[in-house]
Amino acid sequence: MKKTIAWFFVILFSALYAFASYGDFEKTIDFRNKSNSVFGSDKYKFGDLFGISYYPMIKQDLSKTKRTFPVENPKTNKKINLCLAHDSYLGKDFLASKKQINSVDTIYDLEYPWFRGRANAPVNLDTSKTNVLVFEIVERNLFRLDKKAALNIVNIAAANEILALNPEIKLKPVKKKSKIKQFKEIIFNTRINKNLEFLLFDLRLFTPFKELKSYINHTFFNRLPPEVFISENQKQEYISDVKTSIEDKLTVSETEKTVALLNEIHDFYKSKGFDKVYFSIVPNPVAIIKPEALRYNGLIPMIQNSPNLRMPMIDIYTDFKKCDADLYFFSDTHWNFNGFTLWINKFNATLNADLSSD
Amino acid sequence: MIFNSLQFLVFFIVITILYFQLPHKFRWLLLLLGSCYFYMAFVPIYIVILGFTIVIDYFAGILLEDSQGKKRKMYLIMSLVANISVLAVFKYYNFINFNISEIYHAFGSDTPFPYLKILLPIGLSFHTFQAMSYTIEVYRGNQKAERHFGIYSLYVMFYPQLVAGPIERPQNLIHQFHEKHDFDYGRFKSGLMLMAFGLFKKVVIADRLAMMVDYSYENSSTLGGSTLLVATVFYAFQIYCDFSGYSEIAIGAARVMGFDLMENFRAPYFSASISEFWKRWHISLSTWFKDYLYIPLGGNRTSVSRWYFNLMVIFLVSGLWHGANWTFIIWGFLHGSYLIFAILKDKFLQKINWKFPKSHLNTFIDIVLTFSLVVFAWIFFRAENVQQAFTVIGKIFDFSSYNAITLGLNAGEIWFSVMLIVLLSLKEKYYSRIFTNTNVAFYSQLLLIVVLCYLFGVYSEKQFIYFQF
Repeated sequence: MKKTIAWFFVILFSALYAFASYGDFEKTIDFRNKSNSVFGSDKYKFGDLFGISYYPMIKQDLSKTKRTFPVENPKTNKKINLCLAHDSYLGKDFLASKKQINSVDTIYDLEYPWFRGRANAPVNLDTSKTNVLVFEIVERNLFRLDKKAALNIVNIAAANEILALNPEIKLKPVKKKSKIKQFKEIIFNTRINKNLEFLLFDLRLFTPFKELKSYINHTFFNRLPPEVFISENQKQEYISDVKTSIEDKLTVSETEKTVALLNEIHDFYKSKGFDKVYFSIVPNPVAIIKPEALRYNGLIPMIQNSPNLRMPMIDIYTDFKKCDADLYFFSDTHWNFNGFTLWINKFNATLNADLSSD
Repeated sequence: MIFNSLQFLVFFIVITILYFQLPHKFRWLLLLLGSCYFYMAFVPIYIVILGFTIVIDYFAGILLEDSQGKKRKMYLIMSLVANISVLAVFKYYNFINFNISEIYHAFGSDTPFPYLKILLPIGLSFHTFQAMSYTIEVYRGNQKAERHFGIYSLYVMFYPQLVAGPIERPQNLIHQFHEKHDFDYGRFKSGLMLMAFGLFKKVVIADRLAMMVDYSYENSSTLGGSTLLVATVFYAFQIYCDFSGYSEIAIGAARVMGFDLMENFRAPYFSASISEFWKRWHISLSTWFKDYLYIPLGGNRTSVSRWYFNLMVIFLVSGLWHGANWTFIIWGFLHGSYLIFAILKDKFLQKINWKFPKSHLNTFIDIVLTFSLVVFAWIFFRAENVQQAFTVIGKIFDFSSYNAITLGLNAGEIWFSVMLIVLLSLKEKYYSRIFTNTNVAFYSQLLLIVVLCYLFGVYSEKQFIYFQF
């Protein structure tokens, strides 16, 4: 009997180790995110910042938040072929309900390379429609967007004249790793501790313990994980992103580099056949909520007000500043449905105005 | 693979259970494969360096045993040169080259030697010294040459003590690999308890203190002397908890499987003299130097000046063993000086026929004085360079720079750290063994430590300090 139990544990822990080294995590994540039991995930249910800090005093169930504003959708009579590069998970909602977006006929969902690291699906540019390319990016990721990433994000591969004219746009095929390298990466998986932590402890069963630890650390030691900090009124968590939000003063030459990049992106995609190219920076919460107290460095207004900027902007920063409603989740880095709806309305209005005037 | 990781927890459970399930004849293989994997989890390619020293010393041991006279000495020298060469290339080459280049710069030219772009293999000094002790002991006839290549490899690579000791002697360890260890519940409990305490020292005390020490030393040019003084005292406990915590996990992990590793620390900050400190701090290294360098140099059975010379050599080499940096050499020099000064002081007192009366107060004063000297030397050990060390010392002795203590964390964290240090000292002084006779006592204490480690532990994937050596 003892032997059987011993072998059972050997097999169990070996399997756990093997799975952490080379497991299909997508299925596990899906299962845990869907589960409402104690075996469900607690990492993102209450927001990504809660999943980092587990600070129990700021905890918002994202699935229970609701929209306040109606979607305003004045449709143009032109059919739109929309390519949307985005880094908002609400973008999925955007894509799923294309009826709420102007006269969009086709949508291409483009991801930034830091999410998946693989080429996006090919895009067919349709000359019978208005081809619109929109870059929606959160402020904290702006500095991650370099020229190479920006100019490769759209994989134009239609069997039409545009492709014939621009064959160089095609992404290079990803180089396959050697078998030895693959084997080494599995055996000596550098993410194994994170994977084991996910498999063993990303369960709602353990949420109270994580909250207790976080509460003790914050109450007695005024300490939370370095990625997170909390507003003075204890109602909002922020991501501590020094470069794009707080403390770090930006110089004009730094922001002008970004302006030059945006201009280059605009000119490049216009030359490749897009009728309209837009850029939209979604402000970090610190840019909108108490920017003075948190020493917001003013990245978005510096870019948007630059006299050298040629890239048309969907300016959500100004609208957010004017709005009194809560636009962000309390325990998450992202906007909530209010913020998202404001963005759609702004997008629709911008597109409507531009296409009507053409 | 670091001890304070989930990876190690799963690894340890699998290896330990498998160890007791396998027939004795296969156990060495399991431990060897496990140890290889443990080491390769850091940087896989460095197993080649380890393999090189293992092969050299394995054959050196056999040749030493099978030969006589001058040949024996030659084989020993060859083996030592091979081991020291590995250390020289990976650990000291760039340091020596840097110092040579400084001399060249002084004469207005560049160094003719290129710098090597290599990372220091983890725990290189530890396993090299352990390998060297094997050939020396075979040469001295205290240990039979190990003919089983797997067992010899395991002696160098045994995973609990592979990267940060204790540096074992072959007489203590090799025979244990040949012996069959049955599962012993008592050993299991005491080993597990030792591991839990080691983990507590590392994640609750050492890594908490590290946050404050790192902040203070990184900002040493702007902070006041009072802050730097507290940070340096905290560093004394950080390095102690870090290293003794590692040793306890290593000794505990080995004990669970039935192996006895040597003790490495014995409440060193309660030492009443520097010589006592070195009998209690990193025992496996200090005895290594005593057995293989100090005594062969003549020890104290020689002229007085030669004795002082021997002492200084030991500590300078010990400093250099810790790292290729002048800060470590100065640290060693300070400890050598302390010892020589203590001998001179004793001689002087003897001459004037003066004896300090034995009392608790005098012992306490001696402990405080010894601790202060050790803490002072730690400044060099912690500093990034000599300049930083002198900046810290200058500020500590400049009382006008004293102001409110700002260690980068709030007062609650600082006082909590002080409380942990006091509790640790009480535990080290008065409870060398924790009562674990009954299952209830054992499991409740184990659970308590695990819960405390979780609630108050600082998890930053910080490696153990001694891994760099």
